[in-house]
Amino acid sequence: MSKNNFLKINNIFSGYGSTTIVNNFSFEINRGEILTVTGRNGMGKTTLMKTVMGLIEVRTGSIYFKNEDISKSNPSSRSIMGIGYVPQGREIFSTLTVEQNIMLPIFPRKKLKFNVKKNLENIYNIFPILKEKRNDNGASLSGGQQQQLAIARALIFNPEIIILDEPSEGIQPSIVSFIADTLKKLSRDFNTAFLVVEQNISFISQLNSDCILVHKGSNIKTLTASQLSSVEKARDLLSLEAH
Amino acid sequence: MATILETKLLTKKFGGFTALDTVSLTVNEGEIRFIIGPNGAGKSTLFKLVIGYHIPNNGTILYKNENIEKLKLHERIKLGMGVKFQAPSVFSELTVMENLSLANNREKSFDLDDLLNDFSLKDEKETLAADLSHGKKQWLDIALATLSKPDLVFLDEPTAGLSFEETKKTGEIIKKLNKQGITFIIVGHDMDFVKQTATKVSVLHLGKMFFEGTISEVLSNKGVNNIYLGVS
Repeated sequence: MSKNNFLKINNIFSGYGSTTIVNNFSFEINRGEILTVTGRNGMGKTTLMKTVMGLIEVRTGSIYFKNEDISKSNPSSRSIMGIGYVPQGREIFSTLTVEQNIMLPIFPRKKLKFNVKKNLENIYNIFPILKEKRNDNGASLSGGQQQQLAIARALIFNPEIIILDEPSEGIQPSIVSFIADTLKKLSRDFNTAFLVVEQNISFISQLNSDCILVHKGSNIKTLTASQLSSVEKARDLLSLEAH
Repeated sequence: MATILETKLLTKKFGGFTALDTVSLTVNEGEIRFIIGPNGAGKSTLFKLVIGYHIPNNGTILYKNENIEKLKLHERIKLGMGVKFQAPSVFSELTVMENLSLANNREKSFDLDDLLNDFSLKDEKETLAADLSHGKKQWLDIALATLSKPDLVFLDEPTAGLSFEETKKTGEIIKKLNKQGITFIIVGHDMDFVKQTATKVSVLHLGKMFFEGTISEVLSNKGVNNIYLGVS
């Protein structure tokens, strides 16, 4: 199925020093699509995301975003083009307020093609708790609130796709469900695409998305949303023992 | 079963904020007790109070009927407790075997080869801890906390960042160690892990004890669903 040349990863290799981690990886994602990536620890999921974001260089292969080869672009250029990134662990600035955290990506930019005030208003509509706590320090937020803040910080820059690395980690079940619903709403209402690394099977199932299973740095299988519609089915199909 | 740990009206304040408010908890020998609750419920504060990282403002902590709330962490360890913090705290520059050998200072320790086998670390015993995957670091850390056959082990989110298969394996290891006589108190969010492993669950909310029961009682409790699970 054609993915309209939105984000296309072609046979990429990347790694650290002499070690290859991401091993001949390919996938495509369409506008507004949610795609999850799962697999055991140490299999290369985070390295893959960092490579897509430009934090680790592509050794061979290519990354195309909106028909442009961005394989050699730095993370800042990719961000300007419309790729947002929420790293594992959220990396909230604990001594800045919630609103300062959200607005941080805006400060170095001189010319903006969007209305920041309107974006902030939309973000507060999506995450009412952040509006309530807009003047509180990042350190005072719970894990679930910090995750919402990290997503909000990515949203302020109007990204067309957001890469999320383990957004459900350490978060209570009800907030995990809220985040899944929020990603689906953003995908539906704003056509924002999401590339989500996740190990929480219940979260993957709630996202109603296709899911790539990663093993030893390679894409060993892509399962469809309908195959993952129940947690039990997802658990069986995503088990490495099944392959 | 005898009581192994009891807190009575345990309270901890940070400035004007009451993080834990008159929490009473009784854990019996042989239990795998989970402490769950929304973010900010006081789980970590309770964890840090019972291991001796914080001193309570009010209330008592009894371990095998002895008052321990004034004892330091290392003094509590000597009484037969083991602790694993959320982030793995292994010695990165030492091998797996060297890490275990360092902790192996009591006569009643588990056999190291058996332990390496249980934690699937046999093939990595000469590997530097720094080179282990996150999952194996977590297992090495649990192995370090349980090696000396403590009577009571505290684990803070031991499956954080693990895949569901690694989580399942962690549950199996904990149940095996429990059968060998170790009581566990575990702070966690992963409900699949709780369902697989818990014998009893305590739910904290806003610093207070909100509900206690078996996993099925917790899952069917309306209040717990409202504040934590988010299912109707």
